[in-house]
Amino acid sequence: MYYYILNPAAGGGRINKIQDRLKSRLKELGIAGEFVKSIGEGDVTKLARLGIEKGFKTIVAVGGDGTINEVINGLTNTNVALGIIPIGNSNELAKTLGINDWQAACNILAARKIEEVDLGKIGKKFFVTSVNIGFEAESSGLRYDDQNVFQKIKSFQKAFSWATKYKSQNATLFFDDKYSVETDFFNIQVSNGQFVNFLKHGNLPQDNKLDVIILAKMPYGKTLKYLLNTRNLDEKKKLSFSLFRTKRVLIKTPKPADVAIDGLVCGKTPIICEVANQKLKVIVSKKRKF
Amino acid sequence: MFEKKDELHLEEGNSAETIVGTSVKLKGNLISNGDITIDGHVAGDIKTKSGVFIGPNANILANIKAKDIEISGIVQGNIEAKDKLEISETGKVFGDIAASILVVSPGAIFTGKCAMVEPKYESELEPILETEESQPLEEKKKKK
Repeated sequence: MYYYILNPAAGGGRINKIQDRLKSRLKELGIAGEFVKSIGEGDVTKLARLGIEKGFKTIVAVGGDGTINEVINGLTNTNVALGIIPIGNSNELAKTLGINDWQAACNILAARKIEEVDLGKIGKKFFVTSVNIGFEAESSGLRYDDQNVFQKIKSFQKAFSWATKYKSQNATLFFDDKYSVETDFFNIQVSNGQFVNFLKHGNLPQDNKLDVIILAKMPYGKTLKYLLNTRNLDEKKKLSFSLFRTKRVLIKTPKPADVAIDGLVCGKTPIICEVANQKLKVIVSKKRKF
Repeated sequence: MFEKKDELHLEEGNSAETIVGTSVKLKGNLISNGDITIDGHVAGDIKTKSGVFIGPNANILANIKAKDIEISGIVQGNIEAKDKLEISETGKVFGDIAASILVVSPGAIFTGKCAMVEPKYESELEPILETEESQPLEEKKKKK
């Protein structure tokens, strides 16, 4: 049986528009289970734990990367599988798993093909896609998705004004207690395999390693270009960067810097980011990217 | 391997396990199974079963041990390439080197001792002629 956790705020309230069609499609496929809605922050994790207590073997996150992250944090140390119906502003994890829209997600859930992937961990908080420090973390509150044209222009003006003042920072990173790296950085991203990773490599999200990508300090013109193309991975490839693969990294900055986990700011540096002992069971498409 | 630009950029299909960019200063021992590309500063030992590619902006104070090594920057330390060592026209090496195949481009700087290690081919490990002792037992009996 499936336990569906709906985030009404995801994707600008998109669930309200598709809810009836979604439920009827799931019923057609014979996988209609229990539906619950989150109300506030932290609710999704609590609901996921409630679903497990009730004995459900599949918990489905109906939302974006933020919703999925909250569900994951409720699933650790269990044998329960994660399903995804992507309706958020950012659906990077779903895309990597080959789940492109909610219609396809329903069929994929019914097929129930399960893969195990690594989980990243910062303290007690788990993540499956990425952690960002620097530009991506500090600009996460300036996103301008799913708004009308005027709101987008206003948001972009705000983001543009902020970006002109953005300064690169200094950081020291310690990898697996073997070597350290000192750098001026624009952004540091810790990602799991190919999840939200602009590097095209063959590293799998099950290889027990995290990718640490350091985008170097860049001139003003490139910063603005980056802001314009923040979701364009091909543009990111043109930037100067460093890559390290590790099981554990300690990241320190002279002043505490924002840390965003799966797109949401959750704390400040210093942090220890590592591959968790637990794996995540997730329902994937045959068309997944790994 | 390297673009004629100031910084290192991703090439399609780049399989590097580790990339040390221009803005980075690394201290410690870098040990890997995959390719290592360096365009920044490194102080410590570097060891991999694959290749090490050192870009024109790199400044390295380390001993390097790898399968193939390409040097376009500055290296102070001893270098051991299991297969091929290549020093390009912008490369500067201050230390002893050992390799099976050595390529030094005109303009490269190399100060140190050089030892060429002859590659061992599988055919060398097997006897070329069959001796009486190496003949199968049944054939020996027939001769008797």
